[in-house]
Amino acid sequence: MIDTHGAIVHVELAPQLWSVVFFPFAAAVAVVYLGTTLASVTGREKEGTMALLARVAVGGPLLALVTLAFYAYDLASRAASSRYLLVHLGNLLRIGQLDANLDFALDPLSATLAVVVTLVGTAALVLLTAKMKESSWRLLARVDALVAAALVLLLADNLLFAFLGWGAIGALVASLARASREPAPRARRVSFTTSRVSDAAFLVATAVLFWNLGGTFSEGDYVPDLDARFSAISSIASTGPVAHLTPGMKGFVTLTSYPGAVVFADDSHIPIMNGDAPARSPFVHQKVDAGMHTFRIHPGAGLDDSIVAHTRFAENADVELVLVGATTSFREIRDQLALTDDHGAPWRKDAISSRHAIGSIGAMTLACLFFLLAACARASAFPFDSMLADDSDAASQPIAGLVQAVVMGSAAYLLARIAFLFELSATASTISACVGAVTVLLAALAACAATTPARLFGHVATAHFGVALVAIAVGAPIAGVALVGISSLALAAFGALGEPAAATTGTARWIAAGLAAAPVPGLGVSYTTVRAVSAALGSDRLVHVPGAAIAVTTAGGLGVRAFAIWKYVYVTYKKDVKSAAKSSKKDAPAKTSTASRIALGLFGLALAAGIASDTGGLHILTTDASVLVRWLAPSVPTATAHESGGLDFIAFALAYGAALAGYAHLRSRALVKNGLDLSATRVGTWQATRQKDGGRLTRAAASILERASLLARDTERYVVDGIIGALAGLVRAAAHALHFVKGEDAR
Amino acid sequence: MSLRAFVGFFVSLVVLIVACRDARADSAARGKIVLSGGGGSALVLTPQEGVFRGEMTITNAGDDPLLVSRVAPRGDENDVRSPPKLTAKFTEGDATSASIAPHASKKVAVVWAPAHETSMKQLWGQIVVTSTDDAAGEVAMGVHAQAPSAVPLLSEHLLSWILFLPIAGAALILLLHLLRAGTDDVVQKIALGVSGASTVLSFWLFRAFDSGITRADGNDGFQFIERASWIRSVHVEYFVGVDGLSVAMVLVASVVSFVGIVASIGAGTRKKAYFAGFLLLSASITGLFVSLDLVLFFAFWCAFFAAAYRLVASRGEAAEIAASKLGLVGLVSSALLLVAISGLYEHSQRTFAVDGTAIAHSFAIPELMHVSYNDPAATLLGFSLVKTLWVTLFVPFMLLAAVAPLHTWLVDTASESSGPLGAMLGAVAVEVGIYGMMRLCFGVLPEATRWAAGAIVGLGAASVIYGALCAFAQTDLKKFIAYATVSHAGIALLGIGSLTPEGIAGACIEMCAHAAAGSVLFLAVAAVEERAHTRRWGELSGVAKQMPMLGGALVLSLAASFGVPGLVGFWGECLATIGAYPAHRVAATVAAFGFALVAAAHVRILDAVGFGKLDESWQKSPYLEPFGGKFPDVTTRELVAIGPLVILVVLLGLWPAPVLTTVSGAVRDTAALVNPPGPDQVAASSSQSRGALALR
Repeated sequence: MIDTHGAIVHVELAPQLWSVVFFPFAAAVAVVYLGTTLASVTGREKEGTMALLARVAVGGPLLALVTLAFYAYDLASRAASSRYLLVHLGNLLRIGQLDANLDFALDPLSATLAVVVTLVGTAALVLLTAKMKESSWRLLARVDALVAAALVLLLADNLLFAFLGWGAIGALVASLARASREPAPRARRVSFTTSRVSDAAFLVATAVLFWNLGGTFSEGDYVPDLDARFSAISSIASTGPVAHLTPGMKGFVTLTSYPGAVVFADDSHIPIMNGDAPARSPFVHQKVDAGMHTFRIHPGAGLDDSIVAHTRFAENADVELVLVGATTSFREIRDQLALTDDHGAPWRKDAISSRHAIGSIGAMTLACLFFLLAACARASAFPFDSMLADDSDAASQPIAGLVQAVVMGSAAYLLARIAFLFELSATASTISACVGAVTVLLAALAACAATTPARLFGHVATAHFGVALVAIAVGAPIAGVALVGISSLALAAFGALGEPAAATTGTARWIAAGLAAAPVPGLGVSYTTVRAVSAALGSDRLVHVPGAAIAVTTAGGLGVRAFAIWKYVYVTYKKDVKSAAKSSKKDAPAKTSTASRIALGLFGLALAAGIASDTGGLHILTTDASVLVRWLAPSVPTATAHESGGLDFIAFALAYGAALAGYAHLRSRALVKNGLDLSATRVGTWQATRQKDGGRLTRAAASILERASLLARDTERYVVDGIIGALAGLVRAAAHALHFVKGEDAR
Repeated sequence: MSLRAFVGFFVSLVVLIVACRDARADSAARGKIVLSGGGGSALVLTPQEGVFRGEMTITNAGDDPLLVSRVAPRGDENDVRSPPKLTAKFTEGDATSASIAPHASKKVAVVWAPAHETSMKQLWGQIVVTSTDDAAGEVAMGVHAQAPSAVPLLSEHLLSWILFLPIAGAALILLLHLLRAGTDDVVQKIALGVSGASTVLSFWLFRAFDSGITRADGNDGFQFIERASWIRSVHVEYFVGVDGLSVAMVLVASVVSFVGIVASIGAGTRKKAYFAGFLLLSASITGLFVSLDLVLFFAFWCAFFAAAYRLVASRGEAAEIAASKLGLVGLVSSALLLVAISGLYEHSQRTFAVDGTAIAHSFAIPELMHVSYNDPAATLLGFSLVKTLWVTLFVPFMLLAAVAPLHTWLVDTASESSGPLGAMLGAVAVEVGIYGMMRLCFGVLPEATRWAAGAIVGLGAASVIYGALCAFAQTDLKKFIAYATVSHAGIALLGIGSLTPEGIAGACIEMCAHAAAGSVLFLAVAAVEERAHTRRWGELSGVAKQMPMLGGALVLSLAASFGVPGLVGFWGECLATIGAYPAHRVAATVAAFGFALVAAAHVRILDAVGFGKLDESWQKSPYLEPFGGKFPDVTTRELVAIGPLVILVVLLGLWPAPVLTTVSGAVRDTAALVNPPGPDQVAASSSQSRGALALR
């Protein structure tokens, strides 16, 4: 048995992690139950039931969000190599070599996107419940179910369990588009059928990957592994003789594969115990005597036992038994690809890379291409263009934002999660980069031709996914994930504004302006796009296609996208000014509606996330890895940690400032030209906030911000005024949330 | 003739007779073995102090000593027949061999000491005795042991109760008909009672079934075995039992039968004929799942088609064509099945009946599973015997499973059947075809199955796509369901043709899934048709909004039918594709994308019925006038019928483990039977695996 090493994932058990998915799922079930009782009640009882229904619908994702925040904090407090929480709920199926379990796992990658999706889902639900009708419960249940399905995908530890969430997302997205407004039948059917194509591709990719991780193909026949194999990875290199270890010294053993398995050490007939009961997988840090041991792993359920021979345990060494062979678990696949021998050679990776699927097509290439097909079909990338735009158009605005967030997030997550496979196939990386670049360009062109804001931002979402695809393919997956996450918040912010008429508020223009300048609102030349384009330029993964072509196409597509958004801003801005000029002073203040508050809140979060994606507040001019890179790197090990953040931050500040300044200048000129007093507009809003939004803290914050805004306005510091406006949005969103929780009418 | 000649003839005759007697005596020169102890049936071992004991007697009925060289349970570690720890030794000297004096006997103690950790509750086997009696050859005594239970009359004959309760109900109803007694209400209650009792017992069966028992544990992996001689002259036995492949389907068939009877209450005319036929249909389907004797299987096969034909034909003139097609399918499939059974019987080997009687041929399926039909020299009609037998056996099951292109009978039958009848025929009975392929084609002719695996997978993939394309073109909901069934059969074929445990398990759960979801579809469509008097889905746009529960059930079952994750239809597609990939990569990929076609076909209808806009002309429809111009939602009867199946569809979709765990042992055994690694493959695999894993 060779000594194996490798940077494997260190697992920690989190018994309550399942609650993250449980809350929105339970909310969906409860909403259905309460909704079906509505028809049988009347009057005050009906109102009470509807209020309860609304609280339950929002409460589920909100509780999930709080729980996620708690676990994310827990992750952040751990060492980078130990940021992986796992809970085993039960066995999904165990047939032959296929062993899939109901395991939820949380690492920085899944935590980031789960927070985004849950946040956007909660925001959408708050908006929907603000205008609730008796028949709304069906829609609310679907939204809760969609959030639950997205969380299943993001938290599933293995491909089959993730597929459950993946397929459910496709079905629910199509049903949401259907449910919200008078449908375009063809668009719905295309959406659903494309979703099933995505499911089929996912399934085939899973089969390709699973069978090629183990067994052998011999003359057209497949011979499965006779039994599972394990490698022992020690946290401490133990090269010295075993004899020097004194009795009583302890080491630790960890096993997280084959849940329910017990382990026998040496010739013992009694398994390793955890207290009075046998220790059953998954278990971590189980004490064993230091020294040399041979383990017999007994999975049960008719499976053969596996032997791990001659495993050294130095004192306090933590030895993890890593499964080597066919598996559907993301973590186990990643771990075995990370295995190296004494000379540092990645023997397992080399062995898997050399396998062929059909003819001369590598097995990993085929798997990656099918995963790519699945993601493209889901996110409406080339050649499945316009599906997301159609879905967005067919859904009401809050839901459109959620749909875009979930669709983009799920597709990008899948590719980021298996990014280590793309490293094994230059062909798949090249094809993915080409598809991504073409997607950006085509989606941007389609955005130029969009006739409604929903379609416009549906195409924008697709374009952002294209950039993420390029980033993942060329070895910058963190940039791709960051882009998708932040973009989701920003697009959801726009989606929170409701009907197109609401887009005439200033809030929409803020967001649109930010999106126009860069993928991330407020960020000029941001980390995400710079990283994606620069990584494409310098990538050594591409074959037959120059990185420059990818970079130029992507950059060009981004430019066209910016044009499309600015065009929209210009058109709506012109309309807005005209309509504002016609209205009276009483109507002039922009209504601080629920939608605006939530939109501004999301906008603020997007802004904060955008800053975090770059160097962060404390490392402005250094070359240290940014906060986001350091956070996500353990989950996406192919990404390089070295990120040049300083220049990005300066560029961001300049570009953002320029965008805000330009906008503010244009607006103030136009309003003054049309006889509207900008100051009066803003003062009226602050007064409304102080009087109605309640709460001492919010009143105090509003008062401070008002004074600061007036000061900025007086000194013509429009950029500063713009930032204060964003902060005010956050305050108002918090105030509204307080109102909501108290059960008061929401505006 | 002179007196002298007559006397001489008479003396010669006497001498001849005496000489013959002497010849008979010569044939007993080596002793004559006679076994006793079973009383004409198997020897029953009784529980005593934690073990099961019995005694049989070996008698030497000849005039010479009889040397018994070996007394041992039949089988060995490479040919497991009975559960382990079964021993047989002479009581004198505790040996397995002995010499028995002429006209003397010796007792043999038969002991079964099951290990504490085993959950084997039954033992069926034979004790084989080898002696110097060449005329008799090896003889055997059948052995049976049964763990004590609280209600032995019920628990030891569970399958017979499940099987014969509906038959008894049908007989009672027919008796009432002959006596011109009993009202429709009484008839309905009888049907409900026996079907309900049978369903309860099926749940008990499923609950008591041990999924950890496999062929290696003895009894060929079957449980709840009941076995007795039936037609002794032709070695036909009443032989029933279940394993992982059949136990889940017995439960599902019982449940669907019960809900079908509930849904039939109050509907239609000629209730006696209908309910008697329905009970017979239900019993015959259950019988097909539990029969382990080919003649018994064939009997239930014929009974099924007879009952089905009668029920479909009684629907009226319009159904006559459908009934005729069904009858034709029954005739053709029965003929082919009979030919195959005859071939299997004729080429089977010497074996022992349940009581130990040596027989030259056998109809017992577990016995046939130990026979190797793969003799290269054996031919039938100029073709390889085993391949010819396999094809002859496969086609009837392909017919019943409605695999394209032999599916047309189902389309007509489904469109002319009532909801409950459609559920039994279109959702449950078709699964008998898939089951039959696994039980007989795979179990008895594994060598030929390997030869035909590619064709099975190809047929499966083709059925998936063909069924979906045809479903696209349908305007009639029932015909749509029939074509969807063709696709489902394709998925099952894809799974079983993979010859992998994953694929076969996928086929098993697909069978359960389609039985449940398909039944809901048939019942829900029938309920909608009852209200709207039309089955054209284009006219039923938006009806689900007025009937939230019934519409919801319809939408849910459509979603389950095309494999929405979280519903039961998802797992079959998933596992079948994964299982089929290793050996049939292209077919698996094509089939996987064919699922998108299936989904597209379903979503048109789901979209229209579930989310479309209701035509305003329905408000003025005379059919809805009694309901105030609105579609009424489910009645209590319909809720009781559809509700349990809907719960099953959702529960198994979220948690398929109960079914998958149940089938796991039988699936592994079946996969090992049809696709064992050869010694060269193992050697090659080991070296290549070592190379791939760099293990030294």
